[in-house]
Amino acid sequence: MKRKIVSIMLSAAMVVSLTACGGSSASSASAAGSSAAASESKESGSSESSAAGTTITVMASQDWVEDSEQELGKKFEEETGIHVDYEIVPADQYQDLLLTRLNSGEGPDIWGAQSGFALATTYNVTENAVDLSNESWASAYSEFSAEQTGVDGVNYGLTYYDTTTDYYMVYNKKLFEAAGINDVPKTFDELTADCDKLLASGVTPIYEPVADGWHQTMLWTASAQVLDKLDPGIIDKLNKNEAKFADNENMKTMLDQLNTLAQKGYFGDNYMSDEFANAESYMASGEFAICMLKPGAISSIVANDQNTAGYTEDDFGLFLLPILDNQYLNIHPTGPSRFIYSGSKNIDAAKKYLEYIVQKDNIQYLIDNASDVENLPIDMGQTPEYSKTTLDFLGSYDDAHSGMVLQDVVKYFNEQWMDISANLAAMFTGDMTSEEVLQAIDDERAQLAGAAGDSNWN
Amino acid sequence: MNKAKIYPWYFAAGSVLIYTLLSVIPGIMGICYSFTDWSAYSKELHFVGFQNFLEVFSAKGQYLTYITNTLLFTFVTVIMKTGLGLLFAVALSRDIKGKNFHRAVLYLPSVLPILVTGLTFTSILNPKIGFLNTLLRAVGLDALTQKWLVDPKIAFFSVMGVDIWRGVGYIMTLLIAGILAIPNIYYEAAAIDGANAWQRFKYVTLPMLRQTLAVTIVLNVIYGLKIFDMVYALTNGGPGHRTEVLYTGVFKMMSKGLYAEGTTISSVLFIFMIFLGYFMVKILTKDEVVE
Repeated sequence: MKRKIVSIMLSAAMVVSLTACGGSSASSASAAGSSAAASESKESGSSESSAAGTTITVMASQDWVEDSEQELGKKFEEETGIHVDYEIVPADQYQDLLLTRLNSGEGPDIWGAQSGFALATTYNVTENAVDLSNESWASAYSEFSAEQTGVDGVNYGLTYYDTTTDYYMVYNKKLFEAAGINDVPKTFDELTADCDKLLASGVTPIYEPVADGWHQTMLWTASAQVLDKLDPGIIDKLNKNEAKFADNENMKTMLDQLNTLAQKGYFGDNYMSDEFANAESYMASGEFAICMLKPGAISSIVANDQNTAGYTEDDFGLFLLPILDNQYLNIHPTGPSRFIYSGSKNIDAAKKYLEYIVQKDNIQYLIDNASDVENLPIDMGQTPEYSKTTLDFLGSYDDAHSGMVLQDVVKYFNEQWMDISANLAAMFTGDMTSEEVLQAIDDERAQLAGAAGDSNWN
Repeated sequence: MNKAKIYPWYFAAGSVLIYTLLSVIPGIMGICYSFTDWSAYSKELHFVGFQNFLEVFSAKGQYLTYITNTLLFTFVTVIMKTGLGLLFAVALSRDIKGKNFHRAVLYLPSVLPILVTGLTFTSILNPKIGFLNTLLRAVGLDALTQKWLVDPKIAFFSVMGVDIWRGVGYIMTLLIAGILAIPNIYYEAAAIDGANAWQRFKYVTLPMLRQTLAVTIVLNVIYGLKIFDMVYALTNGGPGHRTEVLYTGVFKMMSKGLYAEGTTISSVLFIFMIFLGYFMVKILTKDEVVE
């Protein structure tokens, strides 16, 4: 009997020590994430007068912080004595890691997040970020960007990313010509026919970096403005919970067409391991003909070491991915933005950093040195560097032939971006069907809306 | 002599109190929260009964896959680490040339932080530019090249393989200590009786190692059920959800602010561990002499 009691106690002790991890983190999240703790730190932060000698941490997903910005960070340190520590996290882990830190009260001084609907819900920006409405740069900040980084008229963020353009299909004109393709595809059938020709010419048609866990969703959402054109009112219905993703045949067709691209080998053999960071070098080498990139990336491709064929900027062009035969330009005013953590002890230093990077000369420095940045959504009098290719391409679509990307107009969608990407990867590998991917989106939307107490879902 | 007289219960009171405050109470609170709708989105907390548990066990979600994967990971890694660890321990407890060097080589991976190991192996196992496939191609074994971490059929086994590679040295070290503690006279007696190497292993080494093996198995099972960082660093649950385990699921739920769902998965593991832990400790203490 005695031995039995000892056994039970020992096993219970062992188990408790195992599960305490989950439990304690949960409770600490509750305690540390409370607004009381945040406001206490807020006071201590704002009371600081001199920030020199301090270190601020900028946490961001891979590809959100340009090398040029890090150089600006060094200059900032020279001028102010404030050291900037950039914490760059792999894209597929970033959101989980950031939210865990925010929810446990351990946020970095400056954190990065995509602006838009999710700020108020997922990131709880009103609790986790500082009001930036009255900063010196506020009047020069794009009104529309301020709307996307704000909640209830209060601006909490700074979009430090070129949202003046979105991602489009960058293609290599010489490889197209060599494969006998004379014009860019405008329908899905034309796209598959062109991809077949490229394959036949020994070129892998599309570079699709699935490994990062975010890019593949963009293939869908950057074409999804066609949905509202084909079925007017669908976006509104989705937001009112009067329509479901899973019931929408157009959405299913879009996913099936994406899957077709993967299954027909248009993404190559290695797309599940391919990373976004290598996109420019693979495009420069001529191994791939097309990739969804920002137009500014063309100059980076040309300057890449792998460009042994001597491609020039004129050898690259842009077209819209014609999933569901989409020919509406994608507009995406939201993007990676910076927020100052309300619990930071270095709020003043963080504000100085933001103030520094948006100075006219520094924005110009970024535009001149970060080849994929052509402009920023803050007008400090800088000179944008749109290429002729970009201007011609954007100029060929009027307002009637443009539309906002899906994540900017549909609620509870951007929050599950990484899950959708994982599910699309599962669809490519045959583990899920398009119906299951769409159903999973509906389920997670219901979960998020339920947690947020959205009356449309009750 | 009655040991209870030497060590009265209150000697442990301080530790028990601290342990209760820091581990038991948060653990129990975690279970309580799994019956609520606790989330980052609302300040209100409502009792929802078994709703979260029903969701975990419903076929709709991916949770059952997480549970199956965790159990599969634990089962395979325990068998492989113990088997290989025992093999290496027996081989390296003999007087062979460079014994300590071999021991060090096998033990070293377990010293490396798991995240470092994971990130290193994501590079080594890259199908196109990774060291492993490059090596295989260089020696003409192209047929053996695989998409180690992205082929749904083998990704989970690759994760297990890396974990076994990392953990086997540690198990080997524990077992070597156990083998060296076996008095040599048993082997001499067995040799005089005409026992061959296999018989000496089967009838002397194995029975005398039973307690050490039990400890290593318990350690491995606990580690396996808790597995998180290795999966997180190597595949982050992918491709798709093929390599998701319970704690990556908990992490994702918690990071989304869906705390109740996260604690529910933790609680499921808690309940499972109560049963498993009870039987394992019982087996562990089975042959202990009660004085």
